[in-house]
Amino acid sequence: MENKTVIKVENLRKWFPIRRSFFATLFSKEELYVKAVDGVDFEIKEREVFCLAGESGCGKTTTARTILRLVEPTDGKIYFDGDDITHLKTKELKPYRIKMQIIFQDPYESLNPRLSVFDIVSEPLQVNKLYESQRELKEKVATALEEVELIPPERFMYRFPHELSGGQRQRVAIARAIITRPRFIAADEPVSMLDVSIRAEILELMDRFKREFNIAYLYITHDLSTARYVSDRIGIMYLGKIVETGNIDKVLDDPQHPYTQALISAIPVPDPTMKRKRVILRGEPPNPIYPPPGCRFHPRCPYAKDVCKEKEPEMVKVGEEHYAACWLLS
Amino acid sequence: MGMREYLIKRIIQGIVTIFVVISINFFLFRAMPGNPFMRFIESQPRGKVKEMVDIYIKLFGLDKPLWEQYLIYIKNLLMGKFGYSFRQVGVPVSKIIMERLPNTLILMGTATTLTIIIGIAFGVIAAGRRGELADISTVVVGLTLYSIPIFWLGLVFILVFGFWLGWFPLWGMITPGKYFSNPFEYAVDYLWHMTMPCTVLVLVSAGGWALITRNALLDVFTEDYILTAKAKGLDERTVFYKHALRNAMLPLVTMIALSFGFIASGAVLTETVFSWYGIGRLLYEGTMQHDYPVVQAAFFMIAICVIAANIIADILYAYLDPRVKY
Ligand SMILES: Nc1ncnc2c1ncn2[C@@H]1O[C@H](COP(=O)(O)OP(=O)(O)OP(=O)(O)O)[C@@H](O)[C@H]1O
Ligand SMILES: [Mg+2]
Repeated sequence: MENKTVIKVENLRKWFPIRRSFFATLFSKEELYVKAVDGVDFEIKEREVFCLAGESGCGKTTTARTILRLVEPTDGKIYFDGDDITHLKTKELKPYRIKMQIIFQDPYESLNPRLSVFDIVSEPLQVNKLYESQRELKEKVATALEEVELIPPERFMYRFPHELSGGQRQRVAIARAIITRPRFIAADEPVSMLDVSIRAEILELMDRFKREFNIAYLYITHDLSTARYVSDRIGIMYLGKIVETGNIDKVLDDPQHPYTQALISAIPVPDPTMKRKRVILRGEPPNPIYPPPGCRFHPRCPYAKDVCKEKEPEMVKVGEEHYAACWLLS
Repeated sequence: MGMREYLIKRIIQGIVTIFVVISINFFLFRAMPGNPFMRFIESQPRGKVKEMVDIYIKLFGLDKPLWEQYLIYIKNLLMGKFGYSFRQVGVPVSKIIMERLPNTLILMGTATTLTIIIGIAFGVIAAGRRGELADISTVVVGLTLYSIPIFWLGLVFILVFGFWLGWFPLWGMITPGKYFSNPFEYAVDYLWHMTMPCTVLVLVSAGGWALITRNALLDVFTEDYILTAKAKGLDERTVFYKHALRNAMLPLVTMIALSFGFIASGAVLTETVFSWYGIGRLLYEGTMQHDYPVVQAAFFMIAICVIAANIIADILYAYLDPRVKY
């Protein structure tokens, strides 16, 4: 049986207007934008993990927050279970909020310091009236804490975030995310702030929920080696756009876009005798206010041709379940 | 450590601080240049000036060795005796202060309460409408008010609303020579005199409060837990009040408690400009007339209030913020 598509985005854009000083607005009428996300398409099915990877500032976090409607999209479409949620108002969005959740990178910032673990985890149920009695509420919170292996739950329920370790905090954040049994979770570098020793446990936990509750994940990471361990498909993002996407093994084993090749050659290899094509990235990513014309990657690309400076390449099929946008390939 | 131990620790710290303050208070006035009695005695008929000064010095015990004076001073303070005024011979200092204190408490209490309410309200409105006209005007007006010297604004008010327009009395607290048939009439006259000094105090300080509130809120808005709250399905009002405002108010609680600690200290400049007979003006007069026992006692009282407010602020903070370790 084919799994259902949970999340689908089409040509998603998020441009942040730049606040300028009063004087600057006197001299020029031109509105400036940070083009954080600039035309992104993908879909994620039940029980599937779609990974977004790319350098810092390429728009991964903004993509996740826009899909969850935590920031307003500038353009494009967001579908949840086939429903267009792009322009729903706060009230209309409420039933969808139960079904989609987010886990942030820094568990020290994502938990309100003045609320106890019980308040934090129970709030989604309270807001959406998903319980009958106080007793049921408490039981549900206890179950959620047990599910994230904060055992015994009574020991953690009335503590405050500052009394917990980073790993425990992230578990609380996950408990909060899964308590409404969402169908979609965006996990924004959920383990990058944690000790290496507990990363695997947290990823394991997320993987278990995926299988038990058929969750669709958007998994954001810098770390391509763990990406392969948890994800099914991947999108490589550069300056607000996906430049290569497909089955994770195909993309990582046989990268087609020069940018993907560069990212992969930056991963340390366990076996030094292993030979592979090395592409060294020169310079910094350009300013997302003025993305370069043509292919956004051309100023840093070792293979750039004339056409790359003028026209933006289309996404083309380069293999089974494997697509890339580069003039070298078409 | 529990809340109880923390409380006891803070109170002991407070007592130590008070002791340090009263010691400084003692030596400060003895280190002041000039003889406080000279001016007073010069105004008397010519005669045995030297002898008179000696009599006064003996009377106030200023001929004793410094350490003995210090012990007497501490002993008297512990017994609640603040001594007698140098200027109004025979009048106890505590009586002079008690006469002035209510005026200051009424003026400063009203002004501080209004300042905080108005300042925070404007800060909340501005932060909620970031970048809109309401926000920009709050920031501009707030900054302008914040940088205006209070005595200058006081003089402008006296000139415009007192002298030119004649809406409010130029000075004082009660219309001189007026007969009041009931306490209510008296209160109305008193409040009418208080309107200008109070308005000036509120105007000059509310701007700062608005800016601080606005910044505290904007800082909190960018925290991830605000997005978390939104993701939970809370509506914007609840996110604003329950998650953002409650956290942004934390630093303000300390400031509120401290401002109330300062209400007993009066407002030296405002009270002087408007001839308001409060503690602030008393400090000014006492200093000009070398009436050291009065100034000393006023300092002591102000120090007690501020230290007490500090302790209350810390305890409130520990109670409100679970992160505070005590
Ligand atoms: N609220 C905002 N206002 C203005 N610009 C923003 C805002 N949020 C993000 N940006 C900008 O958008 C771009 C993309 O940011 P984003 O946080 O999405 O990148 P990222 O891929 O998640 O990076 P990282 O790996 O560092 O987390 C950056 O240039 C950033 O400065
Ligand atoms: Mg990010």
